[in-house]
Formats: sequence, structure tokens, C-alpha cells
Amino acid sequence: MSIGHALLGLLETGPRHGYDLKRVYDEHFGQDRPLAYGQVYATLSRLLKNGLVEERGVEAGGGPERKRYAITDAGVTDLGAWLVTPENPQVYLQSALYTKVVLALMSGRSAEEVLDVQRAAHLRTMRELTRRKQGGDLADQLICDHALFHLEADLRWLELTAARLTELAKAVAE
Amino acid sequence: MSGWRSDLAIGVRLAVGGGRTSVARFVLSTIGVGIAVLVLLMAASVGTIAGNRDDRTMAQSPDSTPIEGVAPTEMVWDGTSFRGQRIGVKRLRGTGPDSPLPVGVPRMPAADEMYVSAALKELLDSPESELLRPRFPQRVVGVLPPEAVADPYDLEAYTGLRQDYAEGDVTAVYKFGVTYDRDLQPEFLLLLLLGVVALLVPVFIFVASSTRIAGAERDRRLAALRLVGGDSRQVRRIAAAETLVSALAGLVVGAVAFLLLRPVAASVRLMGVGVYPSDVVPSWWLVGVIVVAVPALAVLTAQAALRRTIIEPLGVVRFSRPVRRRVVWRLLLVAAGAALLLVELGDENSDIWAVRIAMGTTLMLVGVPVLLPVVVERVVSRLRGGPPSWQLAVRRLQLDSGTSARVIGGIAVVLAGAIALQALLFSQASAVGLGQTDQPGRTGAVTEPMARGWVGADGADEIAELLSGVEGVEWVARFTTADLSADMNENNVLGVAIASCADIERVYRVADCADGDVFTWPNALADQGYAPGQRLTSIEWTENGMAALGEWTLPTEVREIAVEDSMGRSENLLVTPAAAPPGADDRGVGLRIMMDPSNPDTIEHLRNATFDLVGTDFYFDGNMGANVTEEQETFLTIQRGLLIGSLFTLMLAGVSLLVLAVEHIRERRRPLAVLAASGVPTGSIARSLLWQIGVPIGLGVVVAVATGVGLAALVNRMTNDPLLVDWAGVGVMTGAAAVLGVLVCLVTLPFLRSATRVESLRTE
Amino acid sequence: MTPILSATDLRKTFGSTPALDGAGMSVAAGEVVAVMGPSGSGKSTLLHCLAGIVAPDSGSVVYAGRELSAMTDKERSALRRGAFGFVFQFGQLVPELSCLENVALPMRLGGTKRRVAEARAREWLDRLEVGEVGAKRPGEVSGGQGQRVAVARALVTAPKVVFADEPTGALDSLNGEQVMRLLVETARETGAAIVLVTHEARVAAYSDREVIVRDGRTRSPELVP
Repeated sequence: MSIGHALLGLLETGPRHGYDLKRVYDEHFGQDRPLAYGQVYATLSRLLKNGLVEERGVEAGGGPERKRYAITDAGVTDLGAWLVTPENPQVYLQSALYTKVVLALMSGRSAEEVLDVQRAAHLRTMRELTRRKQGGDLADQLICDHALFHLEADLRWLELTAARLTELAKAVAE
Repeated sequence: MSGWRSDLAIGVRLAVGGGRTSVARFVLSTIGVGIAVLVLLMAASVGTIAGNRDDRTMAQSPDSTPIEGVAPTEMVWDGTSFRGQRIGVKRLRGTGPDSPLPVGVPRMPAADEMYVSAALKELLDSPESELLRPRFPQRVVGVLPPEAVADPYDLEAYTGLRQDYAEGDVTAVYKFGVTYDRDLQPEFLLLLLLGVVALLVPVFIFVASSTRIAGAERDRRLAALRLVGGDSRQVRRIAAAETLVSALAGLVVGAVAFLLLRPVAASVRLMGVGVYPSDVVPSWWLVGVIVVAVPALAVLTAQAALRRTIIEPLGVVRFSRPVRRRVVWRLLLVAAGAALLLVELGDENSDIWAVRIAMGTTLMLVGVPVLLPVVVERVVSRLRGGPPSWQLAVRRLQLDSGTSARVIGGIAVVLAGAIALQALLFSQASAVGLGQTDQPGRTGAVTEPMARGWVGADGADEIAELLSGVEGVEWVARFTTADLSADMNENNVLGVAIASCADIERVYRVADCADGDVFTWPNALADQGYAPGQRLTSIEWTENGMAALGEWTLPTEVREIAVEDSMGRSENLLVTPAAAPPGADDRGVGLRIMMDPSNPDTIEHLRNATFDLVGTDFYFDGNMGANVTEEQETFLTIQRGLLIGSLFTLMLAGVSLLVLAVEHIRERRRPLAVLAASGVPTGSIARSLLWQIGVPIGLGVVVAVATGVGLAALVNRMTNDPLLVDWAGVGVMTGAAAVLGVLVCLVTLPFLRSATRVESLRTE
Repeated sequence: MTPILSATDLRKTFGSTPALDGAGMSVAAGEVVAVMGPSGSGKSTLLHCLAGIVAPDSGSVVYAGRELSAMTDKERSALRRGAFGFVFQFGQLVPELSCLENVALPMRLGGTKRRVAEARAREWLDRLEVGEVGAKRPGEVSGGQGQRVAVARALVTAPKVVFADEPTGALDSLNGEQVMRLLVETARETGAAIVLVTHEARVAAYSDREVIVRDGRTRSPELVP
């Protein structure tokens, strides 16, 4: 997730203070990880340097927290280009889990156990997300579903791997 | 119990008002049961029809047992024929003011008055009867009411007997109306029993298969009920209620159809037999049996069908491979039937005998639908390969051959019954002298239509003169007769006809006849043990037997005649006057009238010319049908009835096949649509449907022919008749069954086409 | 917590294929248990055995202290009618009956008067947000509506255990989510336990815990340290 582009997107609705930006961001996207102030200002200064935002008036009292930022034309163009650029489907060929399974098989441990534990962990997380989803509003639901689908994908990989463990063990042994 | 009631209510609810498919199912099975009920009601009426006929016949029959104080009515039976229809005429003459009168005749008719049946009145009033009217110069003074005429199509008349009539054939009637038990001869009873069984078994099988329409769908539905907690008894009750609804609806439909068709059926004249609408009344206890048996049978078959399916709430899912059918009990059933027919038990025509035959026959016939599923299953499981349509059909049959086998069992059982009946009829027919050939031994046709007459010696010349002048008459030959005996034994008499050379040459196409010649027919003399030169006695018949009139020697030279027809009725020798045996003159004169073959009305002209000649006796070849004996008449009637019945039942079987095929398409709509969508041509699918019906039909025919012939052989064994199988008839029957199968396939094609449209993939 | 339904060492063979080979699990009152595993692992058979639809070749299933195999067919049927509810992927509704009649069916089979049964059924259809389809037949409603009707029918008798076999298998994600939400919510409100057979983790995430079936044997993650 590009935080810079997210901030640009938020600024397109109108100029905001840095603090304001963080609050709005957290509200929409920050369920898991709220933004740190420092990250907000670091990002803003990078955007400023690239000419994508500009400072728009400083309120009395000075200091960075009193600055208002607005999106520039270049910023709007950049944001538009980002939105229509597809996200690179992320391929975790060397995921930690795969590494664990292979290591378990190589060392003669139970790979199934690794998978079972992982599945249990995944399901536990998914249960929490489901519970939150059931209590939340539409935005909550959408965000939770996103995570759930990702976790489900992991689990499906787990199931497939579990079904092919013997085959894998043979390949690892070679 | 409220639980019961609520289960029944659910069943009723499922049977009716459940969307298009369930309405279709309901309508199909209702119609099926309705047709069966209609047939059963008709069958139940046969007894009343026959009984009422008998009653009317008996009420008209004269009783000549003298009754004290009654002045009898004198009656002469007379009659004539008109274009093959027999017209009965009874001439009445009262000997007192209170002489008895037949039913429907209010007063003694005068010689110029007559009472006629409605059919005769209609005939006389119609323009076609121009050649009949001269024979009925009397005035019509009344029409006989239905209760006086046995059959609505009977042509009958009562007229007055001339006061001067004094021939010997006058019967003194002291009372009209007799009572007697009409005992059927054992072989007729046998035919009737077989016929009834052979016709009713398929009807019941039809009821059974009608109520099992859409079985697979029903199983699924009931499994769903099991899932939500219906226990097996509840589900049985629900299924029973469901079938009961269509069975009851079928009863109503059948009854209504019966009431509507009753007048129509009465106006139909089947093979010379008609009925009054008021006669078509089923006997009340048979109606009771139908009302109870049809729903009971429906429910029982439904319950039997549930035996395996219902056990599990997941229903048919786990029954992908059906249980192999047990063959032993099925064979035992047939064996039991055969055993009943083989064992000697009870005298002919006793009750035990009848029950034994009925039971044995029923068991053997029931064996057909019972064995057929096994046969089909075993045969189909061995089939392999072939074109795609064949493969589709065979694979489908391997999965489920039971349904089609069950319906085809209905056809097969009719076929088996019909074949058995035909074989029996064929064998019996030769026994009562109604074989395929008219008279065994004496084959060969008369080359020209002809009539014969027997007149007194006195008026013979005038009558011959008169007849020669009738339109269409070509030649009138005259002959007298004599009887010869070798040993004065009454049972061994040689009949002789004496005719002039001119007559012999004309009638028998003989050339160079000389007076003194003696003729015979090939083998006629040798067969009876007469030899040339044998001395014989010319005899006459007396009250005490026979008396000798003189000696006569069979000449050494006897010419043979090629035309195999006798001058009179049964003589074996034809002689010219110079060779005539002594004492052959005064017994009356036979007439033989040759007619123009191109003028069919000659006979009617002849009848008109002869009808009021007193003391003559004419009969005409165009009239041979009326010449069968009463025994043969009964026999023919039974044969007709059975034939009509088998045809009707075959039709029923056809309807049920159709129902099966349509339902099959409906049930398998989706797979068929998928096949069509994936590029299988409709033609292949249609052919596979044809195979699916055709293979079981073929096997059904084989089983039916085997059972039918076997049954006939067993029954013939009981009556000690040789078994004659009318293979041509068997061919026709099996052909009819095959055609039925093809027809059904053709009729289902539109359904198939609508099912294989790709859009039907989307429904439901 | 004492289980209300428990199975031990179940074995079941169809033809020559073993479907269950020593499986066992238990369900506590009000608990939602997911039964997971690849296709053909025996999870549906396990559910059928637990519900008394299929009799195992060996092993025991105990509901509320009673052995299911010792019950008569009538008792098991009564159990299915009253204490159990079923939601399957499809096909469990009777196509001839309207949705309302379908929901009322278990009560009517139990002898409840039609009017009473249908009034209750109507409440349940409303509760599952499909009050408007009551008069229609199952063939005339959408898949999602049909499954909600099925859920209503499963819950109408206030069962102790609801057996759900891939209840969302024929639905798209959105309808699947809604059906699962309604199923779990209403079951929790009525205190019913759910045995949920699924191969989808997202559906299984509605459960409290999961049981994994593989090759006819069960493994519960609790056993894993």
C-alpha cells in the first residue's frame, strides 16, 4: 500500500492539516496499523519535494503541525495514474511458511503438524475478523472480507500442500 | 388420530397443486387410472348385457308344454334374408280369444298385419329395401318395444298366419316366456375364463404402472420428507395419500367417462352385435369391487415401490447400483401356474376345474410381467458396443430397466393372453367345424353363385319355369334323390342324385353325357368302402327305420366329376335317369339355380319370387352365414369378444407406453438438453429412445410368445385337442405390438424436441 | 462443558470404499463446530452419521445420553423433526410445497395444526428476511432466498443441533455471507449448536472451532499442543 498515494487521495477532497490527514486515514484504512505522526510528515515532505503537494497557509503558532497541505496539479495527475495502474499481484514464492514446511520435511519433523498449527492460527484470525465483521458497519465488513479472502487463499494453499505432502517429501529428499 | 389426518393432508397437498410438473404427473396418473376404470366398468357391464339379452330372448321363446284351459297360439317360424341380414318372421294364429301373445304384441295380428322391430321398420322405410318390400306386403300396425327384441339391430316381425295354412310345421304355443339355464359347454367356459383373465390382468398392471408415474421424482420428494423428520410409517402414509388422490380422481374420471360413453357404446355395433344403452349397467357388486380394488391396488403398488427407497432420508443417492433382482420366486410363480394346469383335479366343468384353470392361467400370465424385468435386466447387462444411440440406450437400460420393463410387461401380458387365446380358438375352431377351410376333404369352389330349393313333385315344373324367368337366373336344374344301402345299416347310407344329362352338363361342365351314365367325385366312393360292381339296396325311410325298395348294382364304370360340389346336399353319386335306382321318383324335386355372378341382387329377386310358395324350401349360397349352427354362433361371438378385448387392451398398453416415454423425457430433460447442447444430433437421441423402448419390447414379445404358446399347449392338453398355432395371427399380434412401440416413439418426438432445445438448460 | 452430541470411533464403508475410518467428534450445547477437509474425506458421511441419517458400521453416536443406533426409526425420525435441523447445499426443500408450507412441514409432521404451524413458519420467514416469498414454490425463488427458507425450516422447531452441509456451496459470496450470518446469528439466539460441514475457510470462520477430516479420520487442533 502506497501511503503517499493514499494521502494524495485524501487531499484531493480539500486541503488538510497533517493531523487531520492521519485521523481520516486511520478511520478508513488504519484498522490494523494506525499511521505514526512521523510517517505522515515524512511522507508529506517527500510529496512536497516531488511537487505533488504544496503548503497552503500556516496558521498562527507555526510548527509543522499547523501547516495545511493541498494537492498540486502534478499531484492530481500522479494520483490518477496510480489509481489506474494495477497492483502487482504479489507472489510469495519464498514465503516463510513454505520455508518452514520444507525445513520440517528435510529435518524429518512432521510437516503436517506445521500445516495444522498454521491452519489453526489462520482460522483463529479469520474468526476474529468474522466476529468484527458481524459487529461492524459496511466499511468494516469490506475491509475484513478483504483480509479474510487473503487468509482463505493462504489456507487453500495450505490444504493443497497438505494434500501433496508425500509428493513434496519425495522431491525434498532428492 | 390427528397425526394420521395431518399426514394424509400433506399427501393430498403433495398430489395436487404443486406447480406444472406435479400437475402433469397428477393428470397423467389420473387419466391412466381413469382409462382402466372405464375398461373395468365396461367389463363389469358385460354380464348385465348378456343377461338382459338372454332374458329378452327367453321372454320371447314359445313354450309348447300344454297348459290346461289355454287355447294355444299356433305359430310358424319363418324368415328370410336380405343382403346377408337375417330377418326373423313369426306367423301367429290364435285358437281362442285369449290365446297367448308374445311380449310387445298387444293383439293377435291378422294375416295382412304385422308388428316389426325398430330396426326392421327402419330398413323397410329406407330406399335400399326396395327388393325386400315385396316379401312384406303386410301393413305395419306396431313397432316392437325394446324389451321384445333381444338385440337393437335384430330384424324381426310378427304377422298373422293364414287361416288355410295347415302344414306340419305349426307349433302350438301355450305360453311365451321360458326359463332355462344356459349351460356353457366346458370348452366355451374355458375360453371365457382365459379371455377374462388375459384381459383383466393387463388392466391391473396398467393401474399399477399409472400410479408409479414419475417414481424417481417421488422418491426424492419422500426422501426430503424423511430428512425433516417424517418417520418411515408417516412417509408411507403420505405416499399412500398421494397415490390415493390420483386413484380416486381416476375413479371419478373413469366413472364420468363411462357415463358419457355409455350411449355412444350402445350405438356402436361391433361385428353384428349391438346393445341397448339401458343394458350397459355394471353389476353392483362388481362396481363395489372396482371402487375398492383400484385404490387399494394403487396404494399397494406404491407401497411396494417404496420398499427399498424409503429406508434412508438421503433417498436414492446411495442406490446408484440397484439390487440384483431375485429370479427364483418369479420362476416358482410360473411353475406353480403350469403345475395347476398340469395336475388332474376336478371333473370338466366343475367349480374346482374352473378355479384351477383360472388360477393357473392367471399365475402364468402374471408371470410375464414378473419375469420380464429380470429377463430385460440380464440381457441388457450383456449388451455392448454399437453406435452411440444404441450405447446411450443400453447404458440407460442397464441403470434402470425396471420402469420400462414394467410397462412393457403390460403389453407382453396382453400379447401372451392373445396368443394363447388364438391358439385355443384355432384348435377349437376345427373342433366345431369352423376351420380355415370350409369342409375338410371337400375343397374346391363352386364356380358360379347358386341357390338350391326343394319343392313338391307336383308343382316342380311350374316353379322351375317361374324361377327361370327371374332376373339374373341363368339355369334351373332339377334333380331327384335316392338312398342306397349296402347292409341296411342306418348310419351307412349312400346318397344319390338323379338328374338329366342337360342339367349335369350345365352344372358340372361335363361333356358328352349319355343317359345311363353314373358320376361320382374323386375318392367319394372308395373312401366310404364302395367298390364298382357292388350290389346295393335302394331304400326308403319309414317310421321304424328303413325299408328296401329294390336292388341296384354299382356300375363298373363310374365317371368322375372335377367340380367338387354336390347337386343337393350330401350325395356321393350322381346318376342319369336311365341308371336311376328303383323307387326314386316321388319324393319331391330338388332345384339347383345357377345365377349371373355379376348381378348380386339375383338372390333378392329369387327370394321375392319364392317367398310365398307354400311347401317349398329354398336356401341360397349368399346366405351361408346364417347357416352356421348355434354352437358355431356362440363360438364366433366369444371369438369376436375376445378379439375386440385384446385390441382394446393393446391400446391401453400403448397409452401407458406413451406415458412412460413422455415422463422419461420430462424427468431427464436436463441431461437430454446437455446432450443436445454438446452437439449430439436429435436424431441420435430419438434413436436411443426408440432402442430404449424397442429392446424391452423385443424381449417382451419373445417372453409373450413363449408364454402364450406354452399356455395354449397346457390348456389344449387338458381338453385333449391337438395344438395348432396360428403363426400368421401371432405375427400380426407381435407386429401390432412393434408398431405400437414405434408409434409411441413418433408421438414423443415433439416432446423430445422441446426438451432438447438448449433453452431448457435454463429451466429450474 | 459436557457435549450434547458425541461420536466415537465411527466406521462406515460404502461398497468397498471406506468413508469413515475411526472418526469421532463432539459438540457442546450452543457451539458452532466446523467440519473441514478435502472432497471425499468423509465429512458429509460424518455429518450423516451424527444426525442419524446413516447408520455407521461400527462406533457410537450419543445424543443427550442416548445411543442413536439403539433408537427405533420412529424415535430417530422424531429427533430429526424436533431436536435436529438440516440445511444442505440444495435439494432439501420439497418442490411441490410453497416456501411457507416447507417451513411448516416439520411441525406438521409432528402433528401441529396447520394454522399454528404456518403462523410460526411465517414469523421465521420474516426473521430470515424472506417474508415475501412465503407463497412461492422453491423453484420460483433465488438460490439465496431458497437457502434462507431452508435455514428457517431448520430452525423453526427450535432444534438443539443444526446440521449444515455446505450451506453456501451453491451461492455467490455475498449471498453466502448473508446466509451464514443469519444462520449463525439465529442459531446463537435460539441456543442451537451447529455442525457445519464446509471446505471453505471463510465459511468455517463462522465457527467456534474446527474439526479436520482427512481419509475418514478426524483430528481436532485442540489436541495439538
